[in-house]
Amino acid sequence: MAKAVARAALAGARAALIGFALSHQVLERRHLILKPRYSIHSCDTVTTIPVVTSMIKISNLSKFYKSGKVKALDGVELSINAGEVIGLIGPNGAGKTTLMQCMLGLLRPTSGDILINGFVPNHLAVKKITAFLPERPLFEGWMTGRLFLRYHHMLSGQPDVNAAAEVEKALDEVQLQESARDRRIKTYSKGMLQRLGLAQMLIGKPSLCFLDEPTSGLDPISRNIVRDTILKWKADGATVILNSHHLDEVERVCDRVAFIQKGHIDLVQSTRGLEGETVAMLVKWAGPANAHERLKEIASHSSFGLELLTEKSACFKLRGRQEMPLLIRALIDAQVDIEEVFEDRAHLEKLFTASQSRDAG
Amino acid sequence: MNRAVFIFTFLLKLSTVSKLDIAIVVLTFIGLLGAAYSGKEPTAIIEGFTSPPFLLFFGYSFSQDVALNSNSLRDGEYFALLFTRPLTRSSYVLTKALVVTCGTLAISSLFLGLVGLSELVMHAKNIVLIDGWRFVSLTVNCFGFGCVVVLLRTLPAKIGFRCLFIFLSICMLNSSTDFSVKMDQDASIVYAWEYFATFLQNFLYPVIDFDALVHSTRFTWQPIIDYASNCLIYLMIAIYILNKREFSYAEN
Repeated sequence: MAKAVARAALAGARAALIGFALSHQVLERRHLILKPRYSIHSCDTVTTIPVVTSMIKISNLSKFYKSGKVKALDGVELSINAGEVIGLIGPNGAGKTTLMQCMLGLLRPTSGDILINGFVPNHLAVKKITAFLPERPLFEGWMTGRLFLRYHHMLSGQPDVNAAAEVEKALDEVQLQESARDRRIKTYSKGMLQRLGLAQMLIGKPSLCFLDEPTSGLDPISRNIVRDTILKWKADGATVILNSHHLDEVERVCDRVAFIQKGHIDLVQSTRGLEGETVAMLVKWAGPANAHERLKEIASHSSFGLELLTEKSACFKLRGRQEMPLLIRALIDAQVDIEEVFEDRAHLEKLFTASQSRDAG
Repeated sequence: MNRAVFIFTFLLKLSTVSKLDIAIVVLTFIGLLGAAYSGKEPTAIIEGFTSPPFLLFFGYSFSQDVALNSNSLRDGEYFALLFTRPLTRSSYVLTKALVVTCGTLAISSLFLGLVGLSELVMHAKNIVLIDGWRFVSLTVNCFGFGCVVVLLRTLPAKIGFRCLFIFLSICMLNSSTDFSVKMDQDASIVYAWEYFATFLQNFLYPVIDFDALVHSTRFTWQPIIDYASNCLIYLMIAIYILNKREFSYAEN
């Protein structure tokens, strides 16, 4: 009798546990596979994804933490076109990383939808074209740089035949020094780690790239490598989502920028539009003594507005970047001994500040 | 199963074989030589090396990972790099369980080989090796404990170690039931203890004894169902936990 009771209790408890586990699995899978709008037969049969105008479509996306107490994202709407480079900018804690992680399928939204070429972000067909560089990647310290890339090559499902060549090409592109390639990753510096992270993104020729603060803490050479890689992706037609605090960097590489503030997208602005706007040029000179008069003369005989004039520097306002060479030519013609001419790249910063002020107001 | 995760988890273990690991093997061999010299029955030693506590210990030592069973997720994003590749969580967990199975089986086989070698060195008359059904049981049980170990490794460090401690304690309690029968002062306590130990064993152990099953007079499916359902539960909970703690930024 006692054995029968014990056995019945055991069977009941086991059934309850399986039920609990299965229910959660069903929920996970529901999130994983029931949302695609395209009909597909198997992940393995999908090699190319049909290209639509809007590659990423985000509708009414919300993500709450701590049972709704913290609203990281609240009703975000955004469309990202194929081949576009878009920058996400905003203050710390605005929700940029959360938005990126939702797009990558690493976080489940509380509500709303994200569709990438019609599939949910967790779909294997999406992952095959995705590459990601987190802000603080945690590498396998015991591996060497080469081995790490071989690992990611294998993970990406690429044929093994070209593995060695692809790994070398990626390492060459990020200019990771030869002597470091066979060293254990735990001996790498911050810059080398970031280069390795960038190299793993190059594996598998991705067409959808996500970078979360890729240049934070990097030296200028490494920053240039990151920028050049993004521009190369852009030239190859890849879609790039860049999360960065370096506004000048965003302005240089991005087609559009989205300003995020307290979980909302306040403004989506084209950087081409910014280019068409007025540009402030700062000029510093060594001589001659009557430089002030000559500069005033340049301003009076052209469309350049002289905004500021100090003892050895001046600020001209131009109607666009296309006028920069004209200004320099005019300065040379006026025989001003130019020491330095540079653009006051503060437009995005001004927009960013204005966006914050609006919110504070 | 994911080939990359399988191969690189093995590589990780091979790259981290320490002097301590080698010392343990050498000391065990010396101990076995002593046992063979004193004419001890090797069957008990073989049973020892294939028992749940040993399998759990071997499996646990084989399942290390950079992020699994650690708090290092706070220091960086490990799974973010992994799961943005075409790899599902279920595939990852299942692969890890298979790696632990192979690793545990390899270590167990090494120690069982040492038993045979020690007998050979000491010129034992009959060299006792593990028989076929016991080896099948060992292989299947390695997978069962592989599932347990992956679950324990998927938990955060502190909880993982506590669960391992509880599991090992239960292993010890079960192995001490024969001893407790000796205290026949209060038979009801002994019976209750036996039932409790059996209950825990049936409920928690993903273990099957093919030798007993095959040689029993009446075949029953119950041990097989118990084993399969236990493995399934452990794997599913591991996948569920991995889904929950995949990204340190949002552990809520």
